[in-house]
Amino acid sequence: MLTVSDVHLSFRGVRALAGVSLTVEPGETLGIIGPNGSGKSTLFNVISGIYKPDRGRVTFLGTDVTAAEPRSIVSLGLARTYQNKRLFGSLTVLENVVVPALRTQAGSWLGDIVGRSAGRAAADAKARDCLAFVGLHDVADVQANSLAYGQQNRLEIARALALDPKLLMLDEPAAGLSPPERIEMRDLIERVKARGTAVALVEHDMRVVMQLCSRLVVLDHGEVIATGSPAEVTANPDVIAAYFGVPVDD
Amino acid sequence: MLPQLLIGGLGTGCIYALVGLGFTLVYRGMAMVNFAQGQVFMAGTFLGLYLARDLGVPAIPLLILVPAISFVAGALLEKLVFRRLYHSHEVFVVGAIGLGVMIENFVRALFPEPLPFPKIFGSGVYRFIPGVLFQKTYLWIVVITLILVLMLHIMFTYTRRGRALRAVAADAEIAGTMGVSVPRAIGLTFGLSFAVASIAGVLIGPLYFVSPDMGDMVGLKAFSAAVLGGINSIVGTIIGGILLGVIEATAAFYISTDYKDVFAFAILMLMLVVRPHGLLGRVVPVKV
Repeated sequence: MLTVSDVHLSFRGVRALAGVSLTVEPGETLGIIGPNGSGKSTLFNVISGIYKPDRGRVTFLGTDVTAAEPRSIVSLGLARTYQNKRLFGSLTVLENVVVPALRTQAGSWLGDIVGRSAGRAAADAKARDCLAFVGLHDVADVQANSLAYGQQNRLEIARALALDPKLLMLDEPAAGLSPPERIEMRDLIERVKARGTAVALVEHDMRVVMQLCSRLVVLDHGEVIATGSPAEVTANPDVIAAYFGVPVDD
Repeated sequence: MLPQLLIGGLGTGCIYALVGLGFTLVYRGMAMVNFAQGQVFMAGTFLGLYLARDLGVPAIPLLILVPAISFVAGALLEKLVFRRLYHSHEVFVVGAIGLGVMIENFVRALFPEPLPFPKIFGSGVYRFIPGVLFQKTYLWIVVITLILVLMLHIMFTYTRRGRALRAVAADAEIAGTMGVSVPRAIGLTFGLSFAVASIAGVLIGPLYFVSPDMGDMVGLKAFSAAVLGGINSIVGTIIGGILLGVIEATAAFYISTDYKDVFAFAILMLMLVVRPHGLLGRVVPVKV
């Protein structure tokens, strides 16, 4: 459903992506791993339309989205979360999810004020469903920036799910979480997969990646150095070299 | 004497609060300061003057018509002028000051002399408390300010447009990907900021002779009021405005009228040094 082919991107001469190609199939969970600075987040930003690549193409569900605006990519069914948690901090948890849920609802000013707008009621119900799905329904009326860090991760996922994604891209959803929270996060992503949503996952926690992903792509210095099943990839000498350095012959 | 001063201070304070709200709305949405706000307020007065004096529009329709026209003007100017200035705050500030000068001189070309504003709210006084005069105009100022603040609160809290505006204020880029039309939200923000400032212009009109330079000082004082209360906080700006009005009125009486204008700017300086985010404002962390 997603095809990235030969994407190049440089920032002021610094090569961030050098000919990256990958695909995500419907219903699949693809893990994108690699050392820090290998281009994982940059790749997400290219796919979601925040950066335009210098060269190469991104197609999603048969549509060329290489030069498309982020919002039109979202409306095709590609949603994402951010590594640095970009919630609407001054809005409540529920409102954070209502904003994307309203995207597909028609309504009127007056109906909104008197609370009789069908679109708004539907959006509220949908937002509450998404919050229940990630386990945040009991903090719906709390202001988003007073949430604990682990809850913020889940709110980002709820907000992305309210966009009805066919492909959900998660940028380090387990970063900064405690071990029990990591297990909860893994279970949550399992449930997203069970809905039939394809997932592209950037993550450093190898245990989370191994358990969730059927296929991995390894990036290093902006290039794909390996792809395959978790077992294949972890046995690949190039991958070991990228993570731990090249062994010195004596 | 003190109750009388408080009433006067409350009246002027409401005006500062409304014009200051214009600063706050734009600042929350764009993180930019629109220094044409004082001239928008003045243009609102003259629009009101024209409609009331030449066309005989009475008070209540005037308080609907002037902000409606100003709303459209604000949204239009956003599209034609402000939108081209967002790329840098310095450019925006200088551009807004320039626009203010243009508005002021445009009005001066039409109305070169200071003029009396029709007494649209009547000229009577109430005596709720013995010995304290409550001019009708002041009552209108306070009541209309309250109604406006309530309307803004309802809009921001309960309507989808209000939520969209708050989402854009929190993170415009993300709001854009979530289906919020950011250009429309920004147009709406400028429209609203023009509307509230122009209502302030109509409300204060009957108290003074009106002149094209009347917005200069009010604009700067309203900015001080917004900084005092917290320029990213709507409640803070209202409290800042009223506080500033009351401080000015009492200080002018008990200290000296000559130094009346000094207090607003002394407060501005003090706040910028001691508490730049204002009494009720939030410190916004810089995200990288």
